[in-house]
Amino acid sequence: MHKDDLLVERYLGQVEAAMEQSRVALQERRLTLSMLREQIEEALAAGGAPAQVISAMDPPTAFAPGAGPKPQPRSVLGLVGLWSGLALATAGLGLIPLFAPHLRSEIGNPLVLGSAIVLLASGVLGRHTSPGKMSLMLGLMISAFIAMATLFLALSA
Amino acid sequence: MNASWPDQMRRGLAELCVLTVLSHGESYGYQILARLADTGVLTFSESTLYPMLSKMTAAGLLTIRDGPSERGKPRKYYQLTNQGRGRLLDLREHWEAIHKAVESLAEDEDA
Repeated sequence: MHKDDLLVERYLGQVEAAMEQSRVALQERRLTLSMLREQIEEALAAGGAPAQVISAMDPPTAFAPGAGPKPQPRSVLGLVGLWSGLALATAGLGLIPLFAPHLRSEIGNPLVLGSAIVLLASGVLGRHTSPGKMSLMLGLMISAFIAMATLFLALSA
Repeated sequence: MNASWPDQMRRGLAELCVLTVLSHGESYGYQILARLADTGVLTFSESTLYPMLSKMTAAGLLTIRDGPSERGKPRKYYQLTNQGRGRLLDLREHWEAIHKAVESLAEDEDA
């Protein structure tokens, strides 16, 4: 492929990628690209230099309307960790002592410990996101609770 | 006040402008863009106009046919549908009402 054609194809490819990323419908993408191609070919046929023609066009990102920021994997991790940790802590601290108090030491306590580990791990990994920060804070609170309860038991034994 | 208000105003009128251009006969994307730019005020970028033409086609306001061009390659020509003509009448009516309302406000101020 000629260098000038490459320049045009690269621009159109970038426009298509931008539209695809912002989930523009396939038919709309095809029509828009076809009109852009017509415009470029017309400008080239009128004697325009490819680089000049392309630089006069809108940047590819202009074809991606309302493309909001994608959720960051770390933010998703923080959120999943936060909810899982909360579920474990609720089960360990609330449900087990309430409905099956005799299983508190076998199931309840490991659940509380598990919730602290999950919250701390997801909190540390996603510490730059708000769900991650919340996860870390809750993990530290539950860890402090475990440490205090252990200390109390050790002293009273 | 936002500095880009002329842009916002123009964008709001884009559909009316496109339908008005096409009410005079079929046209292709770049030609519509150029016709609007010729007015000196209605300058739209391709990233505004082309996706809008595609959306208007999907909404049934326009139809497309492949027609010849001077370059030999076929072009996509846009035409108004009956639905598009109806939409143009609605938009024009609305635009005239707004225009009259703004004019009457200006007259009040002058008096």
